[in-house]
Amino acid sequence: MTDTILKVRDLKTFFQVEEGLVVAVDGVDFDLSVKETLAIVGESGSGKSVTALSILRLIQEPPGKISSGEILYQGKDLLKLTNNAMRRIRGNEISMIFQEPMSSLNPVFTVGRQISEVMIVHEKISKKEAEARAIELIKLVGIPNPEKCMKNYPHQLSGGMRQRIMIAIALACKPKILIADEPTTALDVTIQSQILKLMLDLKNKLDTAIIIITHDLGVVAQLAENIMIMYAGRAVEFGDARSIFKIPLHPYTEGLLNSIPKIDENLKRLKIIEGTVPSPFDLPKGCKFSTRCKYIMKVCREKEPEYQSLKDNRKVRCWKYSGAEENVG
Amino acid sequence: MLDKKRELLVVDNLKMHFVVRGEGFLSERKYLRAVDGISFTIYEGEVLGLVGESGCGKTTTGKLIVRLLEPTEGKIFYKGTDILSLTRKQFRKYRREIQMIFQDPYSSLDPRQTIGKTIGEPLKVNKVKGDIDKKVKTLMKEVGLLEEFYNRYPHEFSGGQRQRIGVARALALDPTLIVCDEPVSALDVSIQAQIINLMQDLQEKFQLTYLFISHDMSVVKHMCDRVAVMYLGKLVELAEKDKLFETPKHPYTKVLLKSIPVPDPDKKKEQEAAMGDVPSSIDLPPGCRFQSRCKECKDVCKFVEPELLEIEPGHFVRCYLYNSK
Ligand SMILES: Nc1ncnc2c1ncn2[C@@H]1O[C@H](COP(=O)(O)OP(=O)(O)OP(=O)(O)O)[C@@H](O)[C@H]1O
Ligand SMILES: Nc1ncnc2c1ncn2[C@@H]1O[C@H](COP(=O)(O)OP(=O)(O)OP(=O)(O)O)[C@@H](O)[C@H]1O
Ligand code: SF4
Ligand SMILES: [Mg+2]
Ligand SMILES: [Mg+2]
Repeated sequence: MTDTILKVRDLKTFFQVEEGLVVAVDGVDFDLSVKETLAIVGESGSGKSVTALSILRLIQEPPGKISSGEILYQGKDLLKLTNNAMRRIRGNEISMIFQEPMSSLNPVFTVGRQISEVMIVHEKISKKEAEARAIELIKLVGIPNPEKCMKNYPHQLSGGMRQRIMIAIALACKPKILIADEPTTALDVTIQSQILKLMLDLKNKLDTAIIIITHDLGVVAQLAENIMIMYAGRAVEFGDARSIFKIPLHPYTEGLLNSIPKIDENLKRLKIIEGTVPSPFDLPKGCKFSTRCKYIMKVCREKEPEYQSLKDNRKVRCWKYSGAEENVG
Repeated sequence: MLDKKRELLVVDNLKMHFVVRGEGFLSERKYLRAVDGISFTIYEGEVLGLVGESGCGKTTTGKLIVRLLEPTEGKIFYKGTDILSLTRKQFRKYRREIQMIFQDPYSSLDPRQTIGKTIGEPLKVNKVKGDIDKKVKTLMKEVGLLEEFYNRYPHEFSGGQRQRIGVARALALDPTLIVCDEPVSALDVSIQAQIINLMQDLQEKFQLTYLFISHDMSVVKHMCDRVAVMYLGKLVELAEKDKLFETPKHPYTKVLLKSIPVPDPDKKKEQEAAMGDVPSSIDLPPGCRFQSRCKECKDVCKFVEPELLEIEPGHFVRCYLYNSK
């Protein structure tokens, strides 16, 4: 397909820590099209942030290392670029909003300076021009009185405003891809809904593809066209949002969707996924979900299932869907 | 609903004002009004939800109830006794009955203490007679922890397991009332449901009363009988759960409920949000605290703060829209 902007193939990233080797991302594959919004969902520690940081080559080495795979952005493999070439892509063509908004804004510079700076560096425009565009951007992210906001320091803004500024900075150079790592997790629901509205508006106005990382299935349902579910460093399911919510294939996805209390439903008890997430140092041999799965079969304990393509552009990593097994149903 | 409601805890005009200093040398003392005159009743055997934005005073309210903080003003009656007027010694027998489970399962456990010791500690401190080890093991079973974990340390456990340890510890002294401060929000989605079910089972089994603090409205709807909504240190609405979710009255409650993203792609909501910023609890405006974000704001709202009024039996609202009723 011609409109694919990013292809991630067999990405593997590990960290060498005191206790041993953490394979944080182990064979992740996905495609992102122009203007698509893809959500990456999964437990804490399942490798969502590391996947995003790997795409931008922001993995600190050591302790980390991207050990294999391809990240094809408009056909060229980002993993093969020089550091300089990568720097031109970062914040310019692919930009990222980080999990903690406070730590990623510089406390000693005004908001205006921080937004203009990105454009001055990447687009070599004059300070004056950059400032004019910064004001436009602040307006775009819905902050009233942008001229005043330009002169504010980060600590003078509320959490929601800071997150808007982060988005403004990320959009400053009209990126082709915006990666948002839990952009609303630290915010209150009423503020979260402002940011979601903003992201939806921007999606319609700009031609940016978005990768949104979150564990909030409500946010996913409201924003995403496609979903990739991760578990223990692996992609375990992929599909369009509507199908996944309607017919989840992987037992983990199914359990996850069943376990959340729903505001428009009255249940006496919640359905749960038994057990706990395995430690990265003690992963089960076969399927990584086998310690918690209610459909477990003999083969699940012995061999890890492949990430298999099914019809309707869906993918799943589970023995239940392998033709070789009898229990397919 | 509850047939005969017996008052267990009555909070009367409770205030907690923290002293804070402004920036710079010789700056004047200011007061941060974390809890600013709240009154409510918790009935025996119910789950009362307490919801609101970050920083609105939920944890502070919880800590005041278990007396981890001494209030600036106000009274708390437990089974009719004014517990704030008691000496520490007199209070001791009540302390056992009112326990708290904390927001963060990572920092609320002592890393150098084994699980067994942690759970048994309140028993030791309160000089409970009998076989403590045995009691601890029963508690561990009750919350779904294996006996083998007795001699292990907190760092060896996942968030969900740590929260179970916190629950066991809170249960050790056979409490009547437990203040549950966001007991699941730090946990993974797939683990939250386990802890929610556990807490419901325990409530039924031991006829516990919960003050359930949370910012997740879906969890609150699932767990609670009644819900109190806080905004910047004050209660703005309190009602039975179904009333509150079906016919919210206060403009803040309405926005709050509308903001919840529904986990269903076929129910895409027009994300409509209250714009405007939240004022600081140090420099509160005169009048209604929600005015800066309220669509219905009238002149009177900017000058005098509305009272919390009972507009229907059991439904309390603090807003001028309902003053004339
Ligand atoms: N800098 C690092 N050093 C060592 N280990 C790391 C580092 N960064 C991540 N990891 C490990 O890699 C794994 C995946 O982490 P990652 O941050 O991608 O999780 P996540 O899915 O983003 O989780 P969360 O929802 O908590 O943000 C975890 O086991 C984590 O401990
Ligand atoms: N010991 C303290 N000294 C000064 N200010 C405090 C103290 N404890 C809390 N505060 C302030 O009081 C206000 C209420 O805090 P509290 O922790 O009760 O909020 P909360 O509703 O529990 O919020 P969250 O949802 O983030 O847990 C906040 O503005 C907080 O910064
Ligand atoms: S492979 Fe087996 S254990 Fe793994 S999710 Fe599928 S059925 Fe369950
Ligand atoms: Mg992360
Ligand atoms: Mg709190």
